[in-house]
Formats: sequence, C-alpha cells, structure tokens
Amino acid sequence: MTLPALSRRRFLAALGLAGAGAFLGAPLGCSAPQPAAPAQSLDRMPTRPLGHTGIQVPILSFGCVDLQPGSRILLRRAMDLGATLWETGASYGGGASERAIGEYLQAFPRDRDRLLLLTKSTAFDPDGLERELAGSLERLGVDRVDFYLLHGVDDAEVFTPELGRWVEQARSAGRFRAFGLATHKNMAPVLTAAAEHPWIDLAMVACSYRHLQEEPMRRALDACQQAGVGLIAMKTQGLASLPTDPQAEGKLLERFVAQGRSLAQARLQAVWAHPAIACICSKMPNVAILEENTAAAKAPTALGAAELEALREHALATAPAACSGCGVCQRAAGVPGAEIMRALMYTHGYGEPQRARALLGNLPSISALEPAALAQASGACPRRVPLAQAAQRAAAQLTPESTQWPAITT
Amino acid sequence: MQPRTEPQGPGRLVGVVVVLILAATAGVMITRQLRRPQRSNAATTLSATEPSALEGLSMPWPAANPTERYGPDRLYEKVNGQADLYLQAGFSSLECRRFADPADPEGSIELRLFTMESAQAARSVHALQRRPEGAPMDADIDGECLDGACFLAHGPWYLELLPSSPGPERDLPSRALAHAFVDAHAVGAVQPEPSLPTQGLVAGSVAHGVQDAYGVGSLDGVSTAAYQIDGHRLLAWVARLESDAQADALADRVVDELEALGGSEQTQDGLQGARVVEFLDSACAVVVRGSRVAGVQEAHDPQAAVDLAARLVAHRPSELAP
Repeated sequence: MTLPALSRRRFLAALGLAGAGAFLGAPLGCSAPQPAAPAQSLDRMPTRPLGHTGIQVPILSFGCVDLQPGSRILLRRAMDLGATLWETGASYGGGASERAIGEYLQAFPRDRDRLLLLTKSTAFDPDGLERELAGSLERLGVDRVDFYLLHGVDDAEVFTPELGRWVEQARSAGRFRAFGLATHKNMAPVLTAAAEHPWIDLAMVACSYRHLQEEPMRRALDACQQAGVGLIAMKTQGLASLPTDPQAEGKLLERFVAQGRSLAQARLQAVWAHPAIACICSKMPNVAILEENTAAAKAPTALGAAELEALREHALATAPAACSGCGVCQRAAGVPGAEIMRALMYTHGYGEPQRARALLGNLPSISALEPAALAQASGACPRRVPLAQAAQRAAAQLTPESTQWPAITT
Repeated sequence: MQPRTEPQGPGRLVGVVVVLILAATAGVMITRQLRRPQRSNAATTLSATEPSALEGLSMPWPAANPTERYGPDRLYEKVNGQADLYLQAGFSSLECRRFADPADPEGSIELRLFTMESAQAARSVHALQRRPEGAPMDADIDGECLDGACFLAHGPWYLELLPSSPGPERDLPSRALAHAFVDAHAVGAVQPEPSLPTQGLVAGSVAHGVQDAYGVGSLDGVSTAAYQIDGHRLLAWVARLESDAQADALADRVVDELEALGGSEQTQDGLQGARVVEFLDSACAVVVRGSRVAGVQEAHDPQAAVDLAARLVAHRPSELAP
C-alpha cells in the first residue's frame, strides 16, 4: 500500500496542523504513564495544569500565526469551542496577528476574562524585551498577557542572570503571569537548561511521537516536569524532515482508520499521552479545521496502550532512516545529508519525485560524494543515519544519469 | 623575605612548554569560536555558480557573513510558523546576509531578501505584514521603517532589514542598505493596483491569493484589501471565477458558512445579487456580478458593506486574481 501524494496545501497542513484526538491513555516513551486529567465532560475542552504556574490550560491551543484583522468569526468560534489559549507573537505578520486579537478584544472586551494570551519576543535582552513587550501589549490592547516567551531559542546561553532579573521584575509588575521560551532546534539542551532556572515557567517545544522516543528529549521533558516547567507541544506531526516508510505508514494508517481515527490524530494523541505535555498548539486557519480539531480534542476515545506501542515501534523501526535536519553531516564532512534524506522523503513518503529532483538539482552531484566522506558524515550524525545507503539510493533514483529516472512518476 | 629565584635549566624549559601549550589551546578555542556557525547554520550557503541578488552590491556596510539561502523546503527553519504566508503567496527563495556596523563591533543589520514568483506576490506578502505604526520610506520605495528595521517590496523581492539592536538610531543605516539594494536593481515604477477600485483603498493593503481569508474556509485564493471610507475601515475580498455558476456557488458557500456560525441573512431589496449577513454586531456583504464575486467583512453598516462590494464587482480589472 502506498500513501497518496500530498498537495502543497495538504503538505503544509500536515506540517502545521493536526487532526486532533483524545488525551487519555498510556504515555509514549515515558516511565510513569498517568493521564493528566481523568474523565471530563465532553461538552467542554479538557484542561491541564501548566507546570507550577497554577494556571489550567486547554489541551488544544489556538495558534494564531497567520491571523489577520477581520477574523472575529474565527476568534469567536475558538472561544465558543474552548480553544481559549491564543498563541501569537510580535513577529507574526509584522504584528498583524496581535492587532487582530486586539481588535477582537476591543469589540468584545468581556472575552478577555475567559481567555489566556500567549505572545513572544524575538529579542532576548532586557532592553529588547522591554520594547517588544510594550509593542505587543499595545497591539493586543491589554495591560498584561498571561504568558510571555522568548521566540526561537536554540542556545541556552540566552538564559543569563540579567534576563532572569528582568523576568522577575516584569512579572512582579504584573505585565505577564508566567515566562518561558519557544524552541524549535537544539531542543533537549535548551529544555534541560531551562529546567534549572526557577524564573522559567513554561516552554513551547517542537515535539512529535518521534521526538518522544529520543532519550535526550525524554530526559529533558522529565527534567522540565520535575522542575515544574509547563510544556506546550507544537509541530506534533513530526513530518518536516523525516522520511517515512510508505508500507509501514500504510499499516499504521489501516490500523487507526479501522478505529475511526486518522494517523494524524493518533500522532497527536501520542503527544497528549505524555504526562509532561499540558497542551498542543495547532495553527487553525479556518473554522472548519478549528471545529474538527476541537471536536476531536473533546472526544472520549483514548489511544490505548497497544496503539501507543505500535507508534513507538514504528518510530523506532524507522528511526535509523529518520533525519532531524540538524546539519551536522554537512559541517563534519561536507555531505548534504539533510537534503538527501528530504529528497527521499518527497519521493517515497509523498510521491513527489519532481520535488525531490528539484531539491537535489541545487546541490553538487551526490554521485560524486566520496565514500570516506559519507562514512565520516554518518559517524558524526547523532542519529547514525546511513548516509552512504541514502546517497546511493538517491543517486540511483533521482539524478539525471540514473537509469531509474524515467520510471518514477507522480 | 626570600629573594625570588628564576627557574633554571629543565624547569625553565617545562615552563616555556606549558605556556606554549596553553597558548596553542587558547588559539584553537578562539579559532573554533570564530568558526562557529551562526544560528541559521542549517541553511545552504550559496555556491559561486548560483546567482544572488545580494552579490556584487556596493553596500554602505561590509558583509559579515556569506549569503545563506533557504528554499521552500527549509524556509520554516528561518521564519518558523510564518513560512506558510510566503509559501502560499508564491515563494522562490530567501537569502540572508548580515552587514557589520563599522563603528560598532557588536552591531549589524541582517538583510532578508525574499524572492517571490512575481512583483504581485512580493507586494502581497508585504501587505499581509505591514507595520502601520512604521514611518513610510522614501517616495520611490514602497515600504516602512520601525525601530530601525525596514520592510519593503521592490519588484519581485520583499526585503526586511533587521538590526541586531533595534532602535531609531539604526533607521538611517537600514534605509541606506535598502537604498543600495533598490538602486542596484532597477524595476519599473509601482503601478496603481489594477484589480481593485482605488477610491478609499488603503495603500499597500492589497494581497492576492490569500487562503482562508478572514478565517472563512470558503475564501481561498481571493484578493483582499482594506478601504477607509467615511472614517470607517472596511475589509474587502474579491475573486474572479471561471463561470457565473462558480461565482454563485462561492457566494452561497460564504453565506452558508456565516449562517452556520450564527449569522442571520437579511433581506435585501435594493441591489440585485447582493446578500447581507449580520454577525457579531457587524455586517458581511456578498455581491455577485457574472463571474465576479466580492464581499466585505465586519462592516459597521450593512449598506456601506453592500456599496463597497458592489463597487468591487463592477470594477473592470486588468489582472484580477482568479
């Protein structure tokens, strides 16, 4: 069985969106599986405590990255459906996202009390934070937000005593209730370091069922949980740079469809099942997707232990072929491993060989890569991706000199 | 007090060796630090054979790093969740380069050059992230500056100039870098937006190919714009379909979606083909003319919404987005 090719829109949706699902069940890849919230009414969005903040958050938050002014239909629907944690950022749409929320709150000020606002700063120093926070509060039309985060932290060196003092002062002044960070790269070290700073209350982290199999990530999540750092997961589908095995994916898909859920929903459930995760943030650009996700988030069906195990096995079985796109191979040996692996993902995961060829066409010939360099690159790879095999496969299937070139069709 | 004695013979030799080892270690560490990749190290560095609009420019500040390029596949690594905005509009590549402040070793300005598939696409991504609080750039440049950062559309490019330490003191150098790029890449003068009536149109607000406009799932691939009429802002959308039937169907879907969310359609006696749905203390209008359909969201007044929507569908565009 092969998966159908994804259109660009569906591909984007798979990266940024999700289906949704229930939250109960055994966690994946963690030592003490316990549902964070027992049976709750299906009429409302389940909530969980966010670390040591004392704040209950809905398990599904509304990602507002593409929000534009004039979207009160979408925002009101999110309120009604219980997606009442709105995630935005000073940089989103040059402030358009925050302005859209501000206009909504100006029209419906009473909704502020039912709402949790999260926004982020691209500046990490006190002066920059001061400036960006002031701008965010002005655009949002509020005098404080609930959560204020550093946007895109990939180096724990930003956690300076100077920053800590600013956080304590601004939090005491009531400009936000809790402070944290969002991290997309180098996540485990960043989270581990964050857990050591008592002034860090929460973290948004790219976290899929694949990430949950990685020991450094599991340890980092555990460290955050023990330190009381609340965790919000994003990028939960884990497809961005991971090649997939169509046959294995197909078997998983059949299994979950038979249960009435999609693979995307199952992936979400696996993340929700981790006890450290309080919430999943998902971009929901229209009402239909918002309703689909929130309905599934309220669904009583849990992902059972057998399904979690199936996902875990799939993740482990395909892990050697999975590339996180860290670029270590490029730096260590000049081998563009991330591009090679992504090209294979396009071909075999999404049925888009033309896209794969376009990607490889921008690179020096992979056929000319030296075996020694490939071995060095694989040795440096944190995931030990077999880059020699991958390069051989890509060269055989995706280069103009390949005999298989004409055989691959979309 | 004992007189200090200098080490002699083998002892002195050991000391010299230790100092040399320490110096060499420090040298290696410094070299490694200097060679440490920047935060965007996952990007592809441009090869000598790839043309770049940033190469060969006479910039007022020296380049601090090689140009990095991000294709559609890795754009998200640089701009995270905002990547969709560019991809949906028609994105080709992003090139990034930092320029160092000659007077401040810590200071720099990063130039982000988004190459879009057309000038219209570049203007669209700019329109969707305009900083209305920013100061306009010069008359010949379609852009604005805020806290020392500049944002502009120029031909098929959308540029961002982002200082390492934002502040008004960076305004002039950012503008100078922007001018250097603009001067090196001549494009035709920006024409008035041809697809929409210009009276009341907010400059720079037109975006084409917008998906899920205003959060309405039916509004995919439409053009959006803001109008300022009689002191009120009106948010509009317009689309040209392949047939009259498709235009009617789109209007039906929009009205149905609004009604499903609690809106109520109001009877319209005036303009034929106009429909109004009142929703959340505001009015949404949809007007169909042949294969054209236009609408206004969140208007303060139903009649103002219908009037503008009617103007939009009556406009004879030369390149209305399909």
